[in-house]
Amino acid sequence: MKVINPALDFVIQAKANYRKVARAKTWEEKIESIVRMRNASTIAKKSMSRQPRKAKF
Amino acid sequence: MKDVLIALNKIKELGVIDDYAIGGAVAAAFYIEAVNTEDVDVFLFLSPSQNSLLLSLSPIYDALQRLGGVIDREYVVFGDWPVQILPAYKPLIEAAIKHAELVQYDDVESKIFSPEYLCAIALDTSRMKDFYRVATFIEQKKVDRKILDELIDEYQLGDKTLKVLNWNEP
Repeated sequence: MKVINPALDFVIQAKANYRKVARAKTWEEKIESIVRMRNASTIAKKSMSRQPRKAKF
Repeated sequence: MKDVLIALNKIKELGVIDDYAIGGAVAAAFYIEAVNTEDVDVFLFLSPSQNSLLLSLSPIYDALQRLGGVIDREYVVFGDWPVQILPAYKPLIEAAIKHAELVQYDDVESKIFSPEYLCAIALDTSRMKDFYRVATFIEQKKVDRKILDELIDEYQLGDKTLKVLNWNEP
């Protein structure tokens, strides 16, 4: 049975398009994208560590 | 990355190392889509004069420092890229370096592991992300299954393939 879910279809299609573009890049472009991924990951980790702790009651 | 490759080629030319090849996620990105990684894994053969019972990487670190690298813990950093130096420590890695493929990054020549050796080493390393990498190579049909099967037999990696979800796909 086919489930009709436009939101899910949209996400699946977007992900497929992303992967298609990602695979088509040259090695040089992929290396640059790894640096961007790493920088984004570092920023995300830093912002996570700065989250204020919840008070304990 | 270009600076890393120029430095590696230079220390090979100077005889500090016998040969090298890039492995890990940076090499895999040549064939399949890129995934995040912290560093460049450089596998190498030391020059014959350095092959003693007491293995020292300090001549390599010193040479890379002279070429602009900055030592940071176990890495030598060139620009955005920490480089991890890994001597060929087992027969599978030695064979991977010997069978590495010549590639170009911009106008710089370099050597990276072939898809089959990248997959065999990933199976041998056996972390979750390594199994995922093998699955991606299979899904994107970027690996010669016949050659990979031969490597799996030779290095007894058969049981590891059970953890690759799409292993039985043609």
